[in-house]
Amino acid sequence: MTALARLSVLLTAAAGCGGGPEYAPVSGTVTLRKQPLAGATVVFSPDGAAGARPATAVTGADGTFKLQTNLPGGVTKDGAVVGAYKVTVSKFVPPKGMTEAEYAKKVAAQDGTKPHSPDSDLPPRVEAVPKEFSDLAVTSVTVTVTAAGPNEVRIDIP
Amino acid sequence: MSHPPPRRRAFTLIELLVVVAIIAVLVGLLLPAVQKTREAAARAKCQNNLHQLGVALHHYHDANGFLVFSRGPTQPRQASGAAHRRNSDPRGNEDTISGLVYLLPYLEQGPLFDQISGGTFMDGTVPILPFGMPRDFAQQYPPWQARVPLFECPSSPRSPEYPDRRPYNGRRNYVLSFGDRIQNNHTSTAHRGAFGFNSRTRITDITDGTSNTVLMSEQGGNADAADFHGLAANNRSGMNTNPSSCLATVTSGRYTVPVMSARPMTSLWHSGLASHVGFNTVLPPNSPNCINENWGDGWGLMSATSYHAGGVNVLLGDGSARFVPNGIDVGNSSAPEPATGPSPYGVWGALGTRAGGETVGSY
Repeated sequence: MTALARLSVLLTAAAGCGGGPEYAPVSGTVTLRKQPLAGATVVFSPDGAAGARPATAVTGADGTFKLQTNLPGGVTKDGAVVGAYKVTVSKFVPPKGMTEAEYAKKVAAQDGTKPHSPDSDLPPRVEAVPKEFSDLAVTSVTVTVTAAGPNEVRIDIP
Repeated sequence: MSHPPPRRRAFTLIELLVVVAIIAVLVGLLLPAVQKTREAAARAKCQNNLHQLGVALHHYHDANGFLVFSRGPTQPRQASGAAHRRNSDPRGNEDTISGLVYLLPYLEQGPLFDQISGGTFMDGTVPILPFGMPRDFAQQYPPWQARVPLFECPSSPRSPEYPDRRPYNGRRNYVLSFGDRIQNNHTSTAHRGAFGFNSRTRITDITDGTSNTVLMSEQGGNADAADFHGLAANNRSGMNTNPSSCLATVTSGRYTVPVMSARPMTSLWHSGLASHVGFNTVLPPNSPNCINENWGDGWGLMSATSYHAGGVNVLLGDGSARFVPNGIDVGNSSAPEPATGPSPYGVWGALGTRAGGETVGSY
């Protein structure tokens, strides 16, 4: 056995004996009223398991997402720790009668170059996803992430 | 008879290269050691600043009978009884004065405090009310441009002053604890931590014990508008109902959603706006920030952050500075914010509350 091969065996063994939690890739799609839901926050909250971490994602334009686990200090792991989760989907949109572009314009106007005037206040954003899917206390969506996979999650919100 | 010139002994090219290589190896060994020593020195200074701020907080308490508020009404407004009033009067400060301003006399910054509390002039002519004016005019108002060495931690890369926007002066790397209060932590008077809007907490109000309660933490900044230090994701959902949703805003420590880039957090030491004065003990240290912004005046999740490897320095109520690792137990980050009772956010949450009634585990 060459020295290089020996080293690679040693490194592989070292990587395997970290003793940390096991991550598995998780991906899926979110639809709202049969349309892909873009820009929604998907949160997998650990359901009981000690030591598990929440995993999150933001959906893309086609409503698809790939779950990530963000650890402190700017470390991101792909996927979620193997285990059971409660799933919520949430998206804040501007209040009725206001488009996202109009809202963004109002945000940009608050750059601090002008004195504050009360009529330039931002109205609070509102939840676009029904409570049955956005509220952790009442959500019925549960997913068990397995090491074997495939962890494909489809969330159709009526 | 002429002699041939004596042959001079000289270094060959090989010998020279060997010497250069040896020097290179030595420098390679030494330089990382120097860098590590520099960071260790910076970290010690950051920790010492926290200790000094702790002494100042206790001196203030001795003189006044209560700790400073994180944000509060200034003296003229306080007499009229109105609190948290927004206005467009450029001479007042919209009740957004920071508690750090009241610490100045206890940090050997008496003259600066006298200038602020006595009222001064904007652009040299327009008279300003005592305790100054809102954040938007830092450019024209001299006291807000002052740098206070004890408010700055040398480990944090550089002051995010954003010269392309406005000179947001007043670098500040230390923040006051809101405990696990999230919703409306900019104006709420139902305080969970040692500080809040007009809090005036007495030491005797810290019933969890001063050595079990965090008063202050570090906050690291960055001039990079996508780095998780020093900036906040804007107008996110779920901040107080499921704080872990804030973790969705970053990938490898960089925001992938809109941030409040016009208002870097580690600036404006004079400002009591939540994102400029406070932090909460909900998400683990060195997590992203999420704020519900309105003119910079928002509420949300402000994390304790630093550039020290593996954690942050915090100041406890007994005046000691401790290092808290990133891996501190944070309980259930998906739990909704509690109104009363023990914190669901583990040891970190328990350290934040002043009267949560928890026992604080080791960290």
